[in-house]
Amino acid sequence: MFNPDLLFGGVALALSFKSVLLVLIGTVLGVIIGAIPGLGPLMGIILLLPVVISLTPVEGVGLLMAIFVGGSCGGAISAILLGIPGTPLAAATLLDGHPMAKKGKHSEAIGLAFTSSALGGLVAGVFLIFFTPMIAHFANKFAPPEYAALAILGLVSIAVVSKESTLKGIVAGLLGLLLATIGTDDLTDGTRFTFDSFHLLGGFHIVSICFGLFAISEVAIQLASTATRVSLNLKFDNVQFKSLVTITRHLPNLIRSSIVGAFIGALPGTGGVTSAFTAYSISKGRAKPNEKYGEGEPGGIVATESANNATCGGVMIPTLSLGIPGDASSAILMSVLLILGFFPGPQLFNSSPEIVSGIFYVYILSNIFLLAVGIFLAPLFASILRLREARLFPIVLLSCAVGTFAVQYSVFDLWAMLGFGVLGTLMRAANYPLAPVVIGVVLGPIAELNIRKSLLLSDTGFFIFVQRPISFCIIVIAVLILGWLTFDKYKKSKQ
Amino acid sequence: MGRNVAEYVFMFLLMGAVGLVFYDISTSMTEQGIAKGDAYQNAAAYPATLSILVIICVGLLLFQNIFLKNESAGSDLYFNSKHVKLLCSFCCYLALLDTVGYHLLTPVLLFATSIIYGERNWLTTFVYSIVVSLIIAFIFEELLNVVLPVGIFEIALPVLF
Repeated sequence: MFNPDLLFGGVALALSFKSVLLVLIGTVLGVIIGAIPGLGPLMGIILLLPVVISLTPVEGVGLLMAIFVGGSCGGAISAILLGIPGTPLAAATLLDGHPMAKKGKHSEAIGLAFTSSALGGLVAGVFLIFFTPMIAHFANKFAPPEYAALAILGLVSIAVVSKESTLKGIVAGLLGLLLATIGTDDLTDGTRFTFDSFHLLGGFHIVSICFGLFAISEVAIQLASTATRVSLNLKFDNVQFKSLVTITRHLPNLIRSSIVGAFIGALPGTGGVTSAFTAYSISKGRAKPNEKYGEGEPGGIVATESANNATCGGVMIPTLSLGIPGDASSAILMSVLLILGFFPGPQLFNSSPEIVSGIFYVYILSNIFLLAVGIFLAPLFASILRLREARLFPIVLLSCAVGTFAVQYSVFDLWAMLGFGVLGTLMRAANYPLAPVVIGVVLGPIAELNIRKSLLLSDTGFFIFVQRPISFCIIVIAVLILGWLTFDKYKKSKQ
Repeated sequence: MGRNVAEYVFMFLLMGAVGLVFYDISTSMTEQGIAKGDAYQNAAAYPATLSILVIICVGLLLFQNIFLKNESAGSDLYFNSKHVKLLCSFCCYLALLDTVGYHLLTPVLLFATSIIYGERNWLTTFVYSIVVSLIIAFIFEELLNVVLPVGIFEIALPVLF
């Protein structure tokens, strides 16, 4: 039933001076945190947790959501300008963002990233407000076979993002899936591939893997190629209003990717990385012949950035409506509400609709601020990258090291980061894509756990995936994408 | 390093990893009783399947490299003594971090890496290293409440906030 308080009850709470100021601060802080390799929105949210306990629910959640939104976008700055994703969320953005920067279109790329992120977030905001009950209800019906099928669909994107060689992409993806098996098995509590090291009981941390593979390898590559490196022209055009015009040429892509992002975000356990790569693969699949994804195509940035910021909105759907956090960031946001005495779930919609409504509006507000911040302050955020290599890359190395250490206070994670750095450098030297490793690591636990749970539920073994209509549809989509991709590559090789 | 050399080294590492997977399955996982049984008990089937797929894919790549002479775009990466110096510097930093602490060791790392990257002005690099180290420490220690390694000298920034 429609409750008007869910739509209008939180307007006053969200638009109070203090809330607006906190959301603005959170957005700016989030972008800065996201732009610095080694940090990320999760880190910002965790470390500001003590601050928000003294605030009201809408103010506190507003500040953290603004960091979530800003941080999800901020990683695009270093991804575009340096080829180093500031956060794992921006890993997909560098596929087209960095090539655009190399062509001297860095202003356009960053403008597009901010605009797409903000508009993607706004689309997700509409989604969040109007479709929350429906989507939450739908996602609530998902069982292990559907989650396993969804993970398989995500894994198909491994093949799609592998520009050079699908086979190399699959090998890299398998490596990621194998890495994800290290640690304690969720079902048996047995340990796998830990070799009696307690450091490996929880597996390798995703931050160590991402910063090692992307950042450390980039530091090494830059050192190898200082003579031939394409020098970025960091002269920024003034205010990036033109990105608002450019984005109008990508509206279908923007809306589609935002919906993909919001939908994937609404499914617990998935997240921005999955949604960004999935939206990218869909957009690449639907690209016109003259759109060369992976070589600096603006549509690639629109797809990934709108999707990963829409995920911020999508991830709040199960968190608010079911009390099931979609990812680590939303788990922290949920814990803030719990600490303040509000229990997310269906009862929150009945007992405190104005709080739910207020959260909807602070989310929308943070995306509006993100648009403004991106248009007016992007050159400021990027100014750190005007530093010479000899000044910049030691900072990148250090911020990755300190950021990785800060996640678990573990020097072991730093050694792991270094190890993945060496591996990433080797893979880049051998022309292997790195992104599939990350996709494999993210989707691996979801895929394995749900495949095994499905097999436990099944009387017919693997046929359970085709006996259930939703999982069957998802698998058919995955097969169609893979079939189309194989046919397309075959056709191109013939040409 | 030529791309082929890097590729063969990577394949060798992958095969090593696959070897470790099967070694762990046959030893530790078997001892724990999680290497066989139904989908609940058998934690080995999934990584074993992935490893077999890795072997198949590496075999196909080897076949491609040897018989099809698959030529892909891109240039070779050439590693030099700077990489060895950078790697050694970072390894020393990690090895000594817990003992010496962040505040004494980080300016040294920053100084060394700046010089490796080609910075020539030692005095400004020295000052830069100390300033950047303090700024990053301020962000993490003061603003984000992260406790950085203090080492045996127990050096940390004073708590301001």
